[in-house]
Amino acid sequence: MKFCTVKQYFDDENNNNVTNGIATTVIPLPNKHLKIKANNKEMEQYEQELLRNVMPQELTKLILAANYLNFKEALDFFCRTVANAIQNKSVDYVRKFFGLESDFEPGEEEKLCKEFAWSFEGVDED
Amino acid sequence: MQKDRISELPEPIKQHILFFMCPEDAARTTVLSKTWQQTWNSLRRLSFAFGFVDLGCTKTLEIHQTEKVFVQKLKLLPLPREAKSLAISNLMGCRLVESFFDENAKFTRLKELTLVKVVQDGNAIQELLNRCPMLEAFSIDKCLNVYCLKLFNLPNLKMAKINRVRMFYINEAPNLHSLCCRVKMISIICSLRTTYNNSRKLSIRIGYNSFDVMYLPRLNSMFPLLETLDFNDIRRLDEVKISHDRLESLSLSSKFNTITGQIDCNNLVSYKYEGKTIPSLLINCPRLQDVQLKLLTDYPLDTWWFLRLKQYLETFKQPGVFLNLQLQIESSMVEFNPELLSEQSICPLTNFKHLRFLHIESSQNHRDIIDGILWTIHPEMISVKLLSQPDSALIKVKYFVMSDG
Repeated sequence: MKFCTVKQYFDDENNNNVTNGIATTVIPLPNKHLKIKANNKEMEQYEQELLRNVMPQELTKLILAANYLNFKEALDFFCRTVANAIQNKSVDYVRKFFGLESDFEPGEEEKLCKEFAWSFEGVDED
Repeated sequence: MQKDRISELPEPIKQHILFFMCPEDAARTTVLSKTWQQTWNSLRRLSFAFGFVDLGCTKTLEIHQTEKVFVQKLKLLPLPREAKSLAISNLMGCRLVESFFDENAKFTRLKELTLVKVVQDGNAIQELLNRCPMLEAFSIDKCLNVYCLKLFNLPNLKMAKINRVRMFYINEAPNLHSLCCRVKMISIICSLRTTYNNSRKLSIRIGYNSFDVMYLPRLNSMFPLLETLDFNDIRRLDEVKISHDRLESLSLSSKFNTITGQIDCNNLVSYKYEGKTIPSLLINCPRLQDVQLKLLTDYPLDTWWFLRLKQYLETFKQPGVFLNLQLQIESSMVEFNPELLSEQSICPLTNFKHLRFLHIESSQNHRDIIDGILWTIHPEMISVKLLSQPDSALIKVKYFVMSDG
């Protein structure tokens, strides 16, 4: 059963992990899945639409919700989305995307870049 | 600046995200921030499988003393000198460089190693193997030019699958549970005292070698608990003598010779044979229940062939045994003349579950085939593997014969 956690969620009133907005997005997913299970293309389109308007922040919440609800397919899907979003992008781009700042010492970062030089080939320019 | 939520995700989820990326992208996240570096560093098991990436130099990866190790599909595989926590490693399509391995560096936690399409410089694979003392499962396939592999001193080795290697030596693996190999030559070196006490399954497909002569006679003493033996592609075989108290499942196959010999196994339940000709094996196994024979004949069949087949099948006298036969008849010369056999008993064998025709040409003499087979056996079920042009003539004949009773 995919939704034993959901039942728990509804029972648990002091739940801060999953706001209502997120719940309305995540929960209809399995039904949709079932309906268009055979038709992969439709599913792709649906997924694209769903994510077109979602900012990284929302994505985080979706991931947390899927994780809390123990919903593997949704979790995989959202994680894959994040992975695709930063695929082959430069470090600066990814930093902006996530909204994070580097907390390395200047020397450290350079060292790391050298160490992983092999992974920097072919990266998209910003 | 928006607050960064993604980096606040719990670590297992971040690692989950990294898994969806290719190794280069994932590795680059180390540079993002200390938290991401931590995530990358704590990836305990990595297995990335993808296409070739052409790399210039390997010296960039000097990861000493770190917990995490990663393995990836690169042209020149950079493996860290001391890989303390690599537990499972799947190497696909990469190149191992022999000189890379340090004298004393060991992969002390490596438990599972799989090598597929790995190209080696020198004896890199052997060098790698020599450094995995705790290896539990090893599998190698489709690696070119691996001449000789030695699995020595692996006390924890439980499972080994060796494909397409020329020679293979193994010794001192007391925990070996299952060995499957497809090699040209195998040498299980053991002193008189060593027995493979835990070996349950032995699956050997060998080109030329003397496995039969060297090991079959000692099967009982060397592998006392063996349950499954698959011995395939037997070529140089004079006589097979398999005698084992606990063997439950035996599978023999030979593409060329007729196998003769004897099988004495008190516990044998399942027996499979695949070959071109009807074997002359004496089966002395009181508990036998399931017999599967596959005969791929490409020579003309005559009445006497059917007689020999029946005689062979009659040797399975054990009560409760059920026979299955898959028959491939490639020759168009099939002849069956029941009058020649008037002296023989006309009782077709009835303990037959399933007869399956693998390949029937429309040019063949279907009537005789059916007559011959039905003289031999009365199976409960007949099935025909449908060819691209379903042959209605054959079906018609069969129907006609069946309805005769």
